[in-house]
Order: sequence, then structure tokens, then C-alpha cells
Amino acid sequence: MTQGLTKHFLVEKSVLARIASRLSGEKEKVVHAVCDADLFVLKGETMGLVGESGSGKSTLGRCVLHLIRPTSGKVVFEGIDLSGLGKTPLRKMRRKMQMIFQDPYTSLNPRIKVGEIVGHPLELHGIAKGAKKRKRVVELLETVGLSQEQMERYPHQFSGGQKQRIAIARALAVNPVFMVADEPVSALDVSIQAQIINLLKDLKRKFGLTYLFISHDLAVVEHISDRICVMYLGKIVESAPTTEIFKSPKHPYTQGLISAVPIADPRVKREKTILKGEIPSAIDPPSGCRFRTRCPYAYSECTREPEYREVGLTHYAACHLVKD
Amino acid sequence: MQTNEALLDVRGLKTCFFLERGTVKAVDGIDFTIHKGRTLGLVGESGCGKSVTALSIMRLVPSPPGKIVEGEVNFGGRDLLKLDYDEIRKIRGASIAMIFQDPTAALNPVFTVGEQIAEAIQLHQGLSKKEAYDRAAEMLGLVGIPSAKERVHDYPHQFSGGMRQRVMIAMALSCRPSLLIADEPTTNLDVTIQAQILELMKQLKETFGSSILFITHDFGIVAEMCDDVAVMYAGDIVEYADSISLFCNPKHPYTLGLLRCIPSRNRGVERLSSIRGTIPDLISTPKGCKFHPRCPRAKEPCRLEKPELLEVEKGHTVACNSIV
Repeated sequence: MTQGLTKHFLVEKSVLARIASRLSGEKEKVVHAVCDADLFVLKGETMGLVGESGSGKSTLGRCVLHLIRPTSGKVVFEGIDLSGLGKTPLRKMRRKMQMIFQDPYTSLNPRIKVGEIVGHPLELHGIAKGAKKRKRVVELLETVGLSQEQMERYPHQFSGGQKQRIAIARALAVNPVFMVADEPVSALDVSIQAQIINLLKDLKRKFGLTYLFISHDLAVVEHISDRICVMYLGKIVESAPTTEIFKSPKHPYTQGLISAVPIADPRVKREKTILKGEIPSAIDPPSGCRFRTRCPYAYSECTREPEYREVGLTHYAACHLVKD
Repeated sequence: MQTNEALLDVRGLKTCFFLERGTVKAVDGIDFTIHKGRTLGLVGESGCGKSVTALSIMRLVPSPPGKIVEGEVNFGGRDLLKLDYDEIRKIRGASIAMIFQDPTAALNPVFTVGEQIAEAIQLHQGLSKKEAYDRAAEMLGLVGIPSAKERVHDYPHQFSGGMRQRVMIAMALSCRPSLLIADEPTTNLDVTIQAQILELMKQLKETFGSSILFITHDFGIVAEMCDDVAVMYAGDIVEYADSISLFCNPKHPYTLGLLRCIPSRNRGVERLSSIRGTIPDLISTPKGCKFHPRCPRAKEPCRLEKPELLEVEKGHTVACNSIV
């Protein structure tokens, strides 16, 4: 665990995306995207946030940056509660925190040249203009493995992996201390994934960054993260240091998730827990423990929501069956 | 490979797409055999030609701009590429069936799933409407859809993603095909749902004795599902072996490179290996071996001569000039 500033995020009951069926006169539906999430990210670490569809991980990522305002709860960054900030102070804070999105095809403006895409944040935040800006853009492109000539091109002229490098260069432009990467390699081929993962690790070392790495791909998350947080249907169900969570997963969902990841070695034989059933809707999640409808060990107590508590050294889980 | 009976034998298959800016050699002369009762994995990254291979076998290549320009696809004593439209229609859906990455390609939204499954059964097996419907409900039950007898009257949109995939599998297997072609059937599914579908496919393979051509970019799935593996790169098969040989003793530099990129196979490795460069443009592929610009072992002959697939060990073939 690294010393230094603790970045403390406490997000509670974020209820999002009101799906209104007003035309049909139905009662307004609400998607319970994230509920009662408590998350700590320490300076200098990579926190992996893992979950499947409807887990709320992307929403949580966006709330952390206040790209979406939480319905309730707070996000505390370097000691400051973001929800208390007005537009201008928030924008200043934004310099310290940046995001890389999943889809490199839609996160870059197709009508703007790459040089301008990377340079725009510099102007926006009053960091550099003109020649100074240009110099910095070249520096950034080279840092991510691209070249000066590529400044004059448009996004569509690049491959998926290269587009992601451009997105990373753009995020680095303002010298952030914290980056949220939301599925940054999911849309890429495996050999390109490896390149981008290595790049992210190198940049972290070089610039002393802290990452929140969001992904559904447990193997990738294992590779890059110091700690992992597992989400299911809006709830954080388990979190622990990476080696610990793989060695000794406590929550049945985590166990099922780890079990489900195919391993690229036919000689490996293992006990598999294949979770039954479908992922329920986030509009109408199960009462009590949200995982109980698919849990192989569900029992009477599970109709009551389990407490998220410490079950081992820095190992937290929300399950009635897990003893300390 | 086995001395098992060959079910499908592909020789010299070449499929091109004739575009304005040039001709894309999507499949550039490949040979492979699927033996009875075995699963062959066709694995590779984007653009390697694996999907086009499947479409070519099924004679579903969009034409124009695509065209199968050369080769033989021998099945049941006949060359599928020489059959006329009616003859191919009799085979498609009956002896050879296909499931896709996106079920909407196969499921018609305006008919119930029962109607769609029953239609194929009536057409190919000559059963009455009632008998076909009963068989459809039976199939839905077999693929794990709860309340199959009622759900047979539902429309595709009333099923979740994972369920739609099951429906597609039910439809594909309803006429007991001897060969099932599965093109990235689980890529769009959450990992715990993917695990269910893969388990289902294994069970159904046992029950029906079908052979499977499993197309994927995921080596983990290959290791779990496939008996034999063919690795594709830019329209060629570069390595071809049984699964254990391929994973334990990979020979082609591309295969070696790919396997080293995979996080699940390289747990605990600090830096993931990656393959430098990117996949070539299929309109103007490199001369000689298409992989040579990215190959750590490339030598002079590699730039001049395209290597042939040669057997280097029993049942293990590789297309590489640097392996004698």
C-alpha cells in the first residue's frame, strides 16, 4: 500500500437515468444504477473495478469524475467534496482528473485533426497556446508512441489502438494525477490490448498517476490492478488486493466470475462454478441481497441485505455467509 | 490429426471482396479438415478471414462485392461450391447450421421463435406443423429456456441477449446438423452468461454428436472448447494442430506472439509481451510472408517467399520459413 494522500470517494445511492414512460401513463421507472457504493482509491495505486452488464461500474466511474452528478452521497477528491463545488472550481479540479473511454471510434471528434484534439485541453485550461501548445502536443504524441506527422491527420485515418493512444495523449495533456479508464482496451484486438496496457503501466510509472481501471475483463484487470472491486447490479460486493481476491474470493459472485473466465491452457482442469440464471434488471433489482436469485448458496437470511464489511486484511465483502 | 472420418474438407479456398479502392483478399488459399465429432477452432484477430471462411462454406458471402474465387469445400461427398442454389438451401439449416455473434442476424423479429424453429423443421424434416411445433418446444427446453412450452409463442425481442443466443442454438440444432458453425457466438455476452452458453454447447455436442467449427478471437475459449485449432493471419492459416500441441508447443511466431499477449496465460508477468506493428491492409499485403514486417525472426527469404503449411510434427503444421 502506498503512503501519501488518500483519495477518498464515498458515493451513496446514486439513482440514475429516469426512464419515463409518460406516454403510456406508466409509473416513472428508475434505474438503480449504483447504490450505496463506498470506494477508496489510494494515491499511486491502480484500482480495478470489475462487473458485468448492469453492474454500475461505468456509472460509478463517471460519478467519480462528476461527469454525472450522483443522486446522493459524495465524492471526495484530495480532501475536497466535489459536490460542494461550483462550475468554475470544478473545472479547475478537472485538470487533475481525466477519463479515457471505451470506444475510440466515438470518443474522438471526427471533424478535428488529431493535433487539435490533443491540444484543445491545453487551450481550454489556459495552459498553453500557439507554438508552446504545438510543442507540447508533439511531446504528448511521442509519449504515447505516435509521431509528429500524425498531428495533421484525422481520427478515421488511425486504427483502433492508435485512436486509443490519441485519447490517452489528450487525457495526459493537462498533467492529471488521476485517470479513470472505462474499458479502454475492450474494443481492441489482443495484441493491441497488450500494447495499450503496457503503455498505461509505463505512463503510470513515469508520471506517478493513480488509476481507476474499469473493465468486464477480469484477466486484464488482474494484470494491471493493485486492488480490485467487484460490482453486481449497482452494489460493490467485494474488494481486496488483487492477489488476495484471486487466491481467496469470498463472495459467491466473485467466485462465479473468476470461474467463468476461460483460461488459454487446455491442461488446466478446475472446479467450475457456473452461475445459473440471467442478470436481473437494474430497474427492478431483487430485494435483500441482489445476488440471491443466482446464488448457489442463497438461504433465508439473504432476503435481508448483507452488510459490506471487512472480512480479512483490507478485504471487504457483502455476504451473510462470509465470516470474519 | 485423427484418422477419424473427415466431415468437411476445405482445399485452396480463396474469397475476395472487390472494392473501389482495390481487391481485399479476405481468404487467401486455405486448407483444413473437420473430423466427425470434433471441434475445430478457427482463431485470429480482426480481419484475419475467419468469419469470411465460415460464410464461404455456407455460401453466404455478400455478392457483390464478395466472391469465392477458388477452392473446394467438400462435404458429404460433394463440393458445396459447385452446387446450385436449391441444393445449397437443402443443406443449409439441415446438415450444416450456423450461429452468429449477433442473434438479430438469424432471428426474424416479426415471427415467434416457435414459428421460426418449426419452419426449418418442416422444411427439412417433413414433419407436420403440430409435430414441428412440439419439436421446437422440445428444443427450447433442451437449450435451457424455462417454460419452453409457453415461450415458444414469444417473439425474439422478448428474450434477453443470452436467451436469444440459446434460441439461435435451438434453431440451429433443430434439424440435427452434422456440422455446426459458430461465429463468435459468445462475444457479445457477459462472461457468466458466456460460461453457461459454452457449457450448453459442450453438452449438446455430446447429445447430438455434431462437429463444430468454432470461430473466435479468444484463445481461452479455444482451450475450453476445441479439439483442434487453426490460427489465421491476414487470410492465411499459419498454424494448425490439435489443441494440446498448439498450446503447449506453439511454433509460428505469430501464435507465439499472441499467446504471450494473453493476460490469463501470463499471470504474474510484469510486462505483457506484445506484437509490434499492426495487421496489414488486406488490399496490399506484404510480399512473401505476410507476417514478416512484425516478426522477430524475419530473415531475407521471408520477404520474398510466402511459406507453405508444412508438417513439422505429427499432426502439427506450420507456415513459416524460419522453421525447418
